[in-house]
Amino acid sequence: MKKSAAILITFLLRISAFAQSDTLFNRTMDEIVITATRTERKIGNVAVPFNIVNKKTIQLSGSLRLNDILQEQTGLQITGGTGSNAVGGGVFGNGVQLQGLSPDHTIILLDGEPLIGRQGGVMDLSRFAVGNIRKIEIVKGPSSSLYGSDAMGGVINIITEPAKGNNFTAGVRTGSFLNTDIYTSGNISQNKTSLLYFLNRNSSNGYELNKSSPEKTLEPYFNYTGQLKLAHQFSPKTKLTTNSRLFYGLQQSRYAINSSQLNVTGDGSTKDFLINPVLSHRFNNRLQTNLRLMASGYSFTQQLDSISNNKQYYYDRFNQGFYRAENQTDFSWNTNNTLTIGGGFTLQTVNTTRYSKKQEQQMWHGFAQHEWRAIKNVIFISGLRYDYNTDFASRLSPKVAVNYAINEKIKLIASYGAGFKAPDFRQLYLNFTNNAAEGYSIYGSNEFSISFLQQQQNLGFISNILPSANLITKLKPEISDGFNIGTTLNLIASLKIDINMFRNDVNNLINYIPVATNTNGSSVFSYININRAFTQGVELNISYKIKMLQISGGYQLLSTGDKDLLQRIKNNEVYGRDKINGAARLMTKSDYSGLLNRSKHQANLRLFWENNDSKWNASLRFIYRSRFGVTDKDGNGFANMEEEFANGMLQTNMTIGYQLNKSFGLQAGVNNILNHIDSSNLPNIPGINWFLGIHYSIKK
Amino acid sequence: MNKRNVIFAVLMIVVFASCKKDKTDPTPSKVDTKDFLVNGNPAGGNYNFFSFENAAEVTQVDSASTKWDFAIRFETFIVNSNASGPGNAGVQIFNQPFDAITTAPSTSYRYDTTVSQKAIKGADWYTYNPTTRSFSPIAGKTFVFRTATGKYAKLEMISADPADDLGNPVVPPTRPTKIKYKIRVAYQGDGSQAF
Repeated sequence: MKKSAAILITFLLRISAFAQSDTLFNRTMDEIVITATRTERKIGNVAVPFNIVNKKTIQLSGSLRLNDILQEQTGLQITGGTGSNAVGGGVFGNGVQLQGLSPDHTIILLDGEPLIGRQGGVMDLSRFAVGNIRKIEIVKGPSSSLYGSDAMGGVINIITEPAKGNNFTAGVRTGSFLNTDIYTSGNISQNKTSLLYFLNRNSSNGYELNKSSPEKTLEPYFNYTGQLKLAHQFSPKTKLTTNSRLFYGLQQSRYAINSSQLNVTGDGSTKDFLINPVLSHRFNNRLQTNLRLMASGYSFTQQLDSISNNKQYYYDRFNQGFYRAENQTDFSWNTNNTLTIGGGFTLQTVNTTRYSKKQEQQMWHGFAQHEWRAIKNVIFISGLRYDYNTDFASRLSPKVAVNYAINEKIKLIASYGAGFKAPDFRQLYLNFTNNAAEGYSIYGSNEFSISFLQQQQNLGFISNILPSANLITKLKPEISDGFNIGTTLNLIASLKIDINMFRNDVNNLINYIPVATNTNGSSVFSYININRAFTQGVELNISYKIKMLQISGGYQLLSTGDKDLLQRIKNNEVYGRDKINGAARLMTKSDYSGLLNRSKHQANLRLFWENNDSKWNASLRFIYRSRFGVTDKDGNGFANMEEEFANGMLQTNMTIGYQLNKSFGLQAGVNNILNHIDSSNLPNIPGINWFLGIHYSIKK
Repeated sequence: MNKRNVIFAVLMIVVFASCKKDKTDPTPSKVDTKDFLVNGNPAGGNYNFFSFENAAEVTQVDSASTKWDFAIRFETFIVNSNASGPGNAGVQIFNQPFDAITTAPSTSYRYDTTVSQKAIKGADWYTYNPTTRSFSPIAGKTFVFRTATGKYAKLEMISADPADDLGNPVVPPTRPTKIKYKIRVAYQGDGSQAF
């Protein structure tokens, strides 16, 4: 008993996994990936580009939150933000770009189910602790044929530990900015029932990158994450797993508004929960079925008060609910053919201070996928999904892919997929007039009508209705066509090379346009499917193992563009300046720098080492992104002058770990050793910082 | 036509063209780059008034005179004529860089016909980003003015930054009290239409 008390007091990371055989050092073609086909498949048989980030990589990197580990992966770029201390919450949260597509075009799954709680299209990744993650699967290219909306750039599936066995782990760590992380997790299994829990508290005093401002760059915060997973094996063929999650976070907000001193203060609170029972039954080796239920909720509230008179200065509230029932059945009628069919119903609700009322969306979907091993070394995969809903146009998403193993050493993959993204809530339901600031109004397409504008005109609020008002109709989803072609080379056992080329053509991108002019001269906006864009590039990953040293390098070359803007440049209609005060000149195609926030070059070099008896381990990682456009000061829609770019950034992170005995381990690390900071463009990256942690684990 | 004739013809054209230019462009227009800090409240309050002749702001006291040519509040322009003032000013916007406009046209100037029907609309000259609450003047747009007193001037917007009362830039969530415009202006004081 004393011992278990000691266990509880001493916190820690999960060393059992450190010691266990792990795929970081032994990746084989037998490793399983589930996200690519929604069925468990050996990685050698997958026909789309993907990466797997396993637990050991997460642990050796000393990562705490999802953005920490994802920012080190090739082809992923984290968009900078500092969480809910920005007004409106996570509008500028830590989102992720995949294949050059923006954060709202990437779906994030937890154990295969979509996570909710996007602000301005961005899912703030710092909401997710990584201590309970078994692995992260990242599938690249459009996957709406399986996952529906948002799966345009790809899919990030966070797979948590299964409820299995008996063990206990705990850890505590602290470091710069008093960034303190405490967690404990454990498994209890008896007969046919297993229970897993995970508890985490993460807090920080925040940091300041710009000393001249009285506000902190990252304001102090704390948050709690809890997870409970219950698995029950009714029979060898039938299993019920219920996963649940609770999150609560609070971040201070303090501002100096029209003042050199802080005069407005408050906080932003974020809550989410989910409960996800999955009943799976295997009829025989050929037929199995899953019934998946999901209920989840997300809310964000921010209130700011004036310090001098305690009066409310700002209030914003956002509530979202998501309820889904889905069935998936896999049928293999012989060893060469597997058919996966599924369908479901989703109810989504949303309400905020900026909508006229609580909004509801009902969505139905059905999908089918056929996997056919045509000959021994060729696999064809084809799939189709239909999404129907009440509030915007429906969508059919196909996919075809082929995997051709030329021999044991060389594999080729090629795929075409369609992606879509449903119009987001504000594009449908926003009903907002900014009385305090610019005086403009924005209406979602479902809140908009010409007769409403005419009524406003009769009341004297609107001076004239623009012809563009007639263009506003029921919004269509944003859609994309994506092509991927790549190869995996295993020329020698210790060396693996992946090369993938991609091209995504995105149509029907939704943007706001002015539809009327207010009598005060400001505009009334609404949303329309208008823009077209593309992203294309090459991704290269090399991993090499020498004894207990694993070296991996990655590189992505990316080119992106707004097709309509490029056409206008071609037509000699677009001007720009070379310097902020310089003369305007005609822009040419060579001046065009692509979509904002995309780096042309991204590279990483990561070294992980563990000594023979697993007593010592260490990691050294270099992550680089080249300069990227951040703003448009000369109104031409892209970055062309020096002031419109953020500089390239090299982050250097390292850790060292030591295993004291069978149960206790220590880890220390220094991040951003070269102290590269950019307070305005990358506020999410603090200067040089360190941490020190101890972890404990015991296993029966 | 032989070669000599061609050379002669070209020579004559050059001579004629240069003579003509000398006669019609005695004084080049005066070019200035100015900071112009205006009231940043979109809903109300004073406009800030500008005179091309002095390339400077004009005090509120003179708002009922022809001493000013245009005025701005937040991003709303008024020009000194018709519904907005006693002058004879008018404006039109060209999709050409400032330097490329060498002559002011004689006609097609627009006026503020009523309080709500203004000569210049926001969408004509800037792009607005509601997320960052910033607006960027579109490069390559040139405003050509007939001034309140019937002279000609041209203007380009270089930048428009949300600012505090002292003209220091502010970013959200701080609300700007002023908008700091940087403008380039050219004024032709001799009454001709050439810049």
